[in-house]
Amino acid sequence: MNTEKNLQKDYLEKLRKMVPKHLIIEEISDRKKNIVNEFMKTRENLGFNFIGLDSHFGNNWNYEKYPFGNIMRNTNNNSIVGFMGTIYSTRQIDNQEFVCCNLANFYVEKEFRMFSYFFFLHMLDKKKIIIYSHTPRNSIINIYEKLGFEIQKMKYTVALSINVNSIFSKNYKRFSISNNKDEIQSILNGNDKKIYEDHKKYNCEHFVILDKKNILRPCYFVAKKKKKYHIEILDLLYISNVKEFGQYAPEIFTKISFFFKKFFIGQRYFNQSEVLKNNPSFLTRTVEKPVPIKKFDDYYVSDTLYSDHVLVDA
Amino acid sequence: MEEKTFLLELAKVFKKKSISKKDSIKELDSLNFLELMEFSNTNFKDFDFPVDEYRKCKTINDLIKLYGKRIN
Repeated sequence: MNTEKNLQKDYLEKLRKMVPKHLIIEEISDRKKNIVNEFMKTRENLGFNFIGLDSHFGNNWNYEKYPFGNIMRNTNNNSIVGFMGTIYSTRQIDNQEFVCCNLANFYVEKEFRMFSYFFFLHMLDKKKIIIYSHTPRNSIINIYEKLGFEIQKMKYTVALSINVNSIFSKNYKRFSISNNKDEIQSILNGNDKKIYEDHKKYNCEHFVILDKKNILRPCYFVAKKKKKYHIEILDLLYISNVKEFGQYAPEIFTKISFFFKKFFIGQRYFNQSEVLKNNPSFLTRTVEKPVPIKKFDDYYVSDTLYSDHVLVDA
Repeated sequence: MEEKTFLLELAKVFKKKSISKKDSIKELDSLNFLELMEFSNTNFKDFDFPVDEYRKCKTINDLIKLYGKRIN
């Protein structure tokens, strides 16, 4: 194991030495974000929708310590030759707090593209953080792979949200939905309250499913309306307690569907245990996308909060 | 390594059907640079890949020349 780690360390060191001395990485704090906005605005064929850097999740985030991203600068002429966006967050996983970093927008000028990996080497120097990218470009998956990121398959399933049988089930009337701000805030635990606060300025839907029998704890959802495959979909970004509500997915999804008047629901997940299944698979469509992850102490994040899925409106 | 084998292997690295000596190096995807490094390290263990020289290469033939007698 140690030999493997040393080999990886040697390999990274070798790659680092190959980067010309006149290329440097600079972190982009609040004070420098306009440099990037100007640079990206003038690029052609970015291949993605750049919305500009602006303070994102949560209040009082320390952008000096956890910047908006990094630029690659050519010190020979002081020009910027690339940018990689970083979306930092703090997350509770198994009652422990972790700093996470989602690598977002990525662009390098053609002439310097062979040194794209320099951005990732810079990130790998950071200790004790979980690094991942929920929207990686296919063309750079190989770089993640070579640098030791684990490439996991994230599934995206779109399902017909109404389950006709569930309407006649005795549990259908057992659950109710509320998107009332005050009610949501009074119900949520500390962790979910933080998620609510961090996401409330975005174009997201927040709602809770309540059990009238008071047996199950309220289930908090963060969702976003999107248009994909020419159909309107309600993408579920976060479900607070999937396991408890798993067996009631047909009733819950049908309720959600009528509430938001959306007949398709999308979910992203790595494992079946992270998903609510409301209809048989022939009424669903699933695609897979590679997601590079650098775990910390074997921990990683399975939802798509704090990512460009939230920041960018489709 | 034989030149023919080198070109075949290089085509695999850059996910192309075939590569010829006259091809422009610009046609290769620069994002596959790490794969090129791995290929080079695996097949030419005594060769310290000269990045600066590589950046001056215009054709695949120029790249082959970097390897000197290692490719025949």
